[in-house]
Order: sequence, then structure tokens, then C-alpha cells
Amino acid sequence: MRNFNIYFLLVFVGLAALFPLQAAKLPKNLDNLPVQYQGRMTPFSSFAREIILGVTGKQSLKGETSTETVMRWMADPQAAYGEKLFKLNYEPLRDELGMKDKPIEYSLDEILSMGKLMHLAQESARIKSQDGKTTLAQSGAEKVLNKAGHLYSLLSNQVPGYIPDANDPNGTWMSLLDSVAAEDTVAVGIQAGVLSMVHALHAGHYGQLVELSAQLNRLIRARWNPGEKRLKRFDAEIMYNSYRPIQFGRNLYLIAFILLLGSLIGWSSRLIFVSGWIIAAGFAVNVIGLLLRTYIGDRAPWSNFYESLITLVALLVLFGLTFSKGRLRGLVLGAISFSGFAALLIADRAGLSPGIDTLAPALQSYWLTIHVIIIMAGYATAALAMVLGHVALGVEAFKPNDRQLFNATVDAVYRAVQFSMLLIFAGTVLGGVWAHEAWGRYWGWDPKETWALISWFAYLGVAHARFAGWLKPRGLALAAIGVFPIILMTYYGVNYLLSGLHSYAGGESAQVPPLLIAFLIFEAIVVYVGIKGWHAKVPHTKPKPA
Amino acid sequence: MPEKNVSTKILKQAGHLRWTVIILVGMMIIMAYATYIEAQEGHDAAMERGFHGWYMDLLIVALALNLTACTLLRAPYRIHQIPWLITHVGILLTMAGAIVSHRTTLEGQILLRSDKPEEAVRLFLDTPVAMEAPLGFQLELDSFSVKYYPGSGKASDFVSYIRMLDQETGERDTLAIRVNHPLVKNGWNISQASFIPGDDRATILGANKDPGTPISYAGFLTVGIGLIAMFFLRKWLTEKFPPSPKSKQ
Repeated sequence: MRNFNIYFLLVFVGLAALFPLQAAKLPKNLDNLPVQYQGRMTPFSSFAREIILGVTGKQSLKGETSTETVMRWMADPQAAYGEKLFKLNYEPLRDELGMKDKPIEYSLDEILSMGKLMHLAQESARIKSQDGKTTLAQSGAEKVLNKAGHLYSLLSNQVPGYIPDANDPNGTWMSLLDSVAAEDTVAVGIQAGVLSMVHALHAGHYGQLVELSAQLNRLIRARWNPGEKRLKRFDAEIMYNSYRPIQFGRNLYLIAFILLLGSLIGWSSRLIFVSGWIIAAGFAVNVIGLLLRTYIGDRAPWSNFYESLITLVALLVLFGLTFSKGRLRGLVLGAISFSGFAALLIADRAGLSPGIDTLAPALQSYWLTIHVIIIMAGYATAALAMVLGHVALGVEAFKPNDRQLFNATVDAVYRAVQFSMLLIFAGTVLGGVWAHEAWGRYWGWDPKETWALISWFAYLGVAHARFAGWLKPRGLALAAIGVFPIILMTYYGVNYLLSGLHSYAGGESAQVPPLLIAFLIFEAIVVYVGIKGWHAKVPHTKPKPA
Repeated sequence: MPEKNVSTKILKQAGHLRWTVIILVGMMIIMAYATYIEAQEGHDAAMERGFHGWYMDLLIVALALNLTACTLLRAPYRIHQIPWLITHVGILLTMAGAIVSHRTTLEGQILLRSDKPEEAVRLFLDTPVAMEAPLGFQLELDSFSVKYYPGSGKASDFVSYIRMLDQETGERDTLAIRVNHPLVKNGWNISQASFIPGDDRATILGANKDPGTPISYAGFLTVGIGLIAMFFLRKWLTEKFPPSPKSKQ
């Protein structure tokens, strides 16, 4: 009976995790329409997601699938021009534009009529093309106009490409705008198909869409004809978009975490066992997501920031699972399910593009596969050490008499720090070997290289301080928390706050996200309280004679 | 165990872990500061006032001395200390390689035009007159091309089609130099560095020659072997060859 309950629970969990699959109003054939965007042939749903991301910084708007939103804009451009989609909330820019008491949200029409904004953005682009430094207002203006540009290119029919053109030397597909000049019947047919679909949407004739989108799909696929292999990869992307493995895995981590919290407040302790399997399933789904991305993009699935983050989560959970033994089991499982869930949530909510983009020439190397996975494993073990550091402090605070559990947790922190030291070393050296192959020198004091070395020194320092006995168990837990911001700087800060050769991998925003600031403040408080408590609790921390 | 005399005392002080950690923290601060300078004022300023500043040199020398002292101090080594020894010797080897690199490396560019074969590299040096270093072979550009992903302005490849002629050996070759696919010859590493937009009859190649690299690579490999041995062999070594009960770690 007990077993039966557990299986019932597992089935329920599986169903609950799948629940967010949205029931779409529009026919599937519309999501699956092959279009060309930014150098890739991609399903319409992927294209739509990238457009919405470009316009709003979010992957989808409330209550709509990405295809629904973009189709709504296409069906009624007038309304889209008037929709208040753009936020002018960047203070330096507002000051420069003299907008102190003006509202925050603006429509595309309004943005395009702001002469001063346009001027600032042009200045920014000009200065950057000459390698100069822009003011905050200028780069802020350029960012706003970039967002507006995404919507404008859609509404003016410049993107996406719908009509494959066998004669074009670059393989460019014609957009609706290009197809004005189209002469051959298939091209005209595809053009007419897209237009009648937009009309049907505008008129609210959803019934017609089923037939129209199916027909259009057939026409485009017949003309595209990329060969079986490419078509299979394309269909895999459709599958990826509809099953959303990363979100599925994220939900499994969340469910496991909730069950573990339950076991903590006295629900059945068998929940720990069940959550272990749910986390393992989450990991498996996470890895399936990465494998699918490998297949779809025909490249390593850690080629942009979003992908590196989901790789990091998979590695964190994997290392965590190997650490979850004995009395530590529940605690480690709780730590990895929470951090895995949180990191995957950030991956989807922080405005990162989940697109399976094309690779810049600098990244086209087998070293990408080797170097990135190893350095990510280094970051993952560092993150694990940090999370377990919190667990150790929690054990000490809430179970001050259970020294055995505390020591076991700190031992796990130490092991994670050691692994991190080894992996960051290996990853950095292999990065150097790659740099030597690409640029002829293994070390060039590039910011990413430099910060990787700083990270290695930091973990080297912590490991040495521990075995020299300078760091007591709690000191080690605090150190694992205290040095982790260096990893964040190497991983995130260098790409977004500094610039250099590695900047092709990231953006150029100079704003530190509020969530990161909040996290750093929280960690500073934890470390402060931890050090203070050190002195207050000296009698407690003395080991009892065995 | 070395004898307790003055030199041992000095060695013990110089090789103290305290200094290692202080030096590492000092280097971390300088490096972090230098990346900040780089973002503000550019790479040259960061090199001059950060990475190649006298204080960085001082710390590197101090680290080398500290590591050497610490390594000598443990002699004679017991078997379970061998992984530790390998790791530390590897770091010293890497640093030796870096010093050789720093003193001997040649770094420069070749602006190659299709009507003008080149046999020398223009070096990146702060001298009033441009300095050149001979390649020892001749490069001639056939053409340069940028390839794009279909229907986009995103580059998928930068390729220089080159004819190479080695007058000494009479070797001739036609080859393509692409990003991540350099030409390696006579110790030179010739890589695709840049291009002149819109000009398919010119290319800019990076050229490096660094005799220190093999030494540093040997160092990396040694450190790697040592670390892995420390992780996975030390426990076994300690059990197999237990340290005598009297001696301390």
C-alpha cells in the first residue's frame, strides 16, 4: 500500500510538471511554419519568441503563446503601433530627455516620433563604430531604439523570410516586403498564403486558419527542400518548443523541493527517497533538453549565456546527486533542487535569448565543447560549495548540538571547493590552449582569462587556508559563500560589465540587475552574521571529546 | 628533515604558507584592478599599470621564491608527498615558461594584399620606427572572403586563401587560414585576425612566435597530473606507504 502511494505520487508529479503546456488557440501548423530569421531556418514559434524577447525582454506576454502575440501584431499593425510596449525607465536617459514627470510606457508610434531619442541613439551607434565611449543616456537610447526596431521590422514586413529562393547566392528567403517583386507562381502563392492568413486573423475567422496554415506549410517545405537531415533537425526544434524540457525539468526540481520541505516539517521521511528520484528525473529531462539542442543546432549545447546556465544547472544537480549520501541526503537534495529551480527560473526570466543561434566564427571549434563544459563544471562545483555553505550554517543555527551532521556538511563543502579548484584550473588551461590555437598565444590578459585566474587563486587560497587549519569548519562554510561572487564576476560580470575579446559571448549592458544586487547584499549579511556568531558561540563550536 | 640551522630557518620563513596566501591575494587585487582600468582606458593602460606593472613583477618573483622555498623545505620527500611535489614543480615550470615567453615572444601583424607577397611580420612594439621580423617563408594572398549565414548579416566564416612558398626547402602550398585554423610553420602561428571591410583582396593576419609556450604547456600538464594524483592517489599512497609515526606532515 505504501509503495502504491509512492507510485501514485510519482505519476501525479509527472502530470503536474507537464501541466504548464499551454493549450493553443491557433493551429499547430502555424507554430511550425518554417521561416528564416537571423541566419537560421526556424519554426515560426521560435521566431516569434525572439521578436517578443527583442521588443519586451520577456519570452512571452501574459496569457498568450509567442505565436499568438506576434500574429496579433501582424493582423492589426495599427493597434500594434499604438500598444504601449516600451518602457523609458532608465534614469540617465530620462534626465537627458527631460522626462522627469512624464509616464514610463510608450508605444512604437510615440518612440519613433521622439527626435531627441533618435539623435542620441544615432550618436551612440556612431561613437561605438569608432571604438569610443558613449554616455549612459546615449547607449540607453540605442537600447530602446533597438527594441523598437524589432517591432518595426516585423510590422513593416521585413522579417521573417517566408519564401525560399533557390537562386539567391546567400540562400536568403524573401520576406513579404521582398516578395512584392516576386514573379514565379510558388513565391506568389506563399505570399498570398501569408496575407490571407493575416486577413483571416484580422477578421477573426479562426476556422480558415487550419486549412490555410497547413497549405502554407506544405508550400514552404516543398520549396525549401533542405534534405532529410536538416528537416529532421527542424522537426526536432518543433518538438523542443512544444515539450519545453527545460521548463519541465524546472517544475520537477520545484516539486522535489516542496516535498523535501514537507519532510522537514514532519511529513513522511520517505519523501526524501521520492524527491531523490524526482530530482534524478529532472536531471534526465534537463539533459534531454541539452541533447535536443545539440541535435537541432548541430553544435555544443553551451554556446550562449542561456545554454551555459542550463548546462550549469545540470552539472550542479549531477554533482549534488553524487554528494547526497547518508545523513546529508535530504539536505543536499533540498539545496540542489532549490538552486536548480531558481537558476532555471532566472534563465527564463532574465531576458536571455533561449534561441539555438548560429555560432560566430570564433566559437566554431571543438575546443568550445571541451573548454566550456569543464569550466562550467568548475562553476557548478563552486556554486555547490556556496549552497552547501548555507546548509552548513543552517545546520549549526538550527541543530547546534548535531556536530556530526555539521561536520559532514562542511566536509562536503571542502570536497566541492577542491573539485572546483581542479576543474577551474583544467578549464582555464584548456581555454588557454584554445586561445593559442585561435590567436597564437595562450594568455593575453583578456578580462575573461584574468578573472578565471582570479577565481582559481580564490579557490586555491580557500583550500590551502583550510588544510593549514586557518579556516575552522564554519570559516570554510563562510569562505565558500564569500568567494562565490568572484565566480559570478567571471561568469556573468566580465561579459556584461567589462568588455574584451570574449564579449562576443555576451551583451554590453552596464546595469547591474537588481536581483544580483539583492543576492550580494543577502550574502554579505550571511557572512557578517556568520563571522559575528563565531565569537558569540565559541563554547558551542568546541568539539566535544570523543 | 633538514637540520635546524640559520638557512633552514630562513627557508622556513620564506616558504611559509602565510606569504603564499598574501601574494595570491595581492595578485588578485592587482588583476581585478587592471581589468577595471582596461574597461575604462583600454588594454595598453591595463598592461602598463596593471599586468606588467613593477608590483606585479615583484609579486611573481616573490611567489616563485616562496614556492621554491616551500618545495625545498619538505625534502626529503616521502612517497605520499609526491603528487604534492609534482603539482608545485609544475607551477614553477609554468612560471618559468611564462618568463621565457615574456622575454622572447614575437607578436605582430601581417597586412597581406593580393598584389604584394610578404616575408616579414610587423611587430607590435613601442618603438619610433616600425620593427619587422622575418618569417622565413613567403605568403601571398589569393583572396579573402567573408561567409554569412543564409539571409543574414551574421558572419559564419572569415577565410584567407593563401599561397605559401618556402624558398629554403622549395616547399609550396596553397592553404586557407580561417579563424580557429591557423597556419603553424617555423615556430610561427599565423592566424586570421582581422580584415578590411569590403576588400576581398586584402587580409590582416596575426603572427606570433613564442618559444616559452612548450615550457608552460609542460608545466600545465605537470600541474594537472599532480592535482589529479593528489585527488585520487594520495589516500591510496598514504595507506600503502604510511608516514613514520614520529614525523609530522
